[in-house]
Amino acid sequence: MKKLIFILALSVGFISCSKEDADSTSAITNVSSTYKVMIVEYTATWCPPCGTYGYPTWKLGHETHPYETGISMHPSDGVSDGASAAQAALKTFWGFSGTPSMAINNLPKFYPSTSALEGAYAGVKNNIAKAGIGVSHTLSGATLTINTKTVFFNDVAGDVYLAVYVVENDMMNTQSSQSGTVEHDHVFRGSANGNFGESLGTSCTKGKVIDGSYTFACPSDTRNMANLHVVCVLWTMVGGVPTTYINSNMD
Amino acid sequence: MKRVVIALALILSASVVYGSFAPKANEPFSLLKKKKKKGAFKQGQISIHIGMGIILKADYKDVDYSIFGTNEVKKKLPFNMMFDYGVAPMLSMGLYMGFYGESITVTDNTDPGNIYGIENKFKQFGLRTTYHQYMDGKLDPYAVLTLGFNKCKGTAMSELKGNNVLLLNPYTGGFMWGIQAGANIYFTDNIGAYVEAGYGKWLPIINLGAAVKF
Repeated sequence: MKKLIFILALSVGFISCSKEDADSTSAITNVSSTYKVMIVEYTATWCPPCGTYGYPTWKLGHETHPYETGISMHPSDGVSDGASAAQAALKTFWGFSGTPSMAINNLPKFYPSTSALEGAYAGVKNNIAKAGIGVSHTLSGATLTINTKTVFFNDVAGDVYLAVYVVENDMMNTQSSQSGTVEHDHVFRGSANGNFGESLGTSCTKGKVIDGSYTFACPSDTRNMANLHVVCVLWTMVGGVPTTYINSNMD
Repeated sequence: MKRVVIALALILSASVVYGSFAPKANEPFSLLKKKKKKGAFKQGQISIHIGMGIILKADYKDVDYSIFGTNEVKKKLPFNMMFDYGVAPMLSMGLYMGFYGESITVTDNTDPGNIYGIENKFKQFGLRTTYHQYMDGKLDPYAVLTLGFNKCKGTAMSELKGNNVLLLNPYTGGFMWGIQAGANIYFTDNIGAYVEAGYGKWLPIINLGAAVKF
């Protein structure tokens, strides 16, 4: 009997080894505590000033600030059919009518130049991240499954929305006023959850963690689905438009 | 399947070890009784163990620091003290106290300049129930169940200038348990050494150190 108790005691302990730590929180490992500026442009591959001013400003902006986020919206041109409903809503929000135009976060648009971009950037870069977003995605056929994790580092007042946009990188295409083919990144492909995202509620308090899961059907103008990335934007909304930019991140 | 094989192998090993220590079934009772008088463990005995642990697997439960980036964990050597009292001829009960520390450094996967971290210091308190297997001589093999609480205090790693969010909802403590098999070996009537190994939560897989009994 004593032998049995002794062996059973050991076996309980060792069999417990077989219970692995369940990690069902997905593979999100990029909830950033950095305040990230979102650089936005409206440009076209057939537009000469876009190659003269827009493209160099955009390119330099991302080279100088490589860890910020960005979306590049195109009308119908060599890299996009410009048909995304979310893009139309975002264009209206920023007031983009002609190309090239730029903006950062949810602030007013400006004509692309390095000084204008850096001035706007400097005005917001030292803001504190009140929340961080982690994002990961998997591709199955022509569908992206996107997981997000939003962590609030401070209380955030207002109706907080999380927008989940899909962009495509590494597209080689001609650009008017540029020679040969050049690389186009962050080309807007659409939204996985409405034009400005979906509400996370009005009680986003310090320490709160909100998980999200979304699917996105890749549009027909996608060149290479392996080059798709997800840009998540957190802002508060009033009257159907973003009023305060909180943070953004991309995978 | 691999786990089952490992578990079975360990059980088999334990059985073999036990078999080699245990008295033979056909030994006369008078001989067993005589041997018990010479065993290393006795009812009423007070024993103190002071030692260190090896390989303590952290288990932060719901606090998952990996979501914030790449984690680098530096572990300190766990120290522990145990006090046991022999409440029965083959049973002792006592207290476990452990001290442990580790630091977690996080590198933001989206911004490599954003590096921050937390230093966790643990104090562990538990109750031990130990079954001692009789053996003639100076060896005292045993199996022990430890149940207790792991208390944790975290502080920011001040030398790192990143945006530390690990103190937002830090791990503050939780249930601790362990089941281990081990042995005391006494070099004199009172002084010896111990080693024990097993599995649990927030307890070292291996403990070893000095043993004193009165």
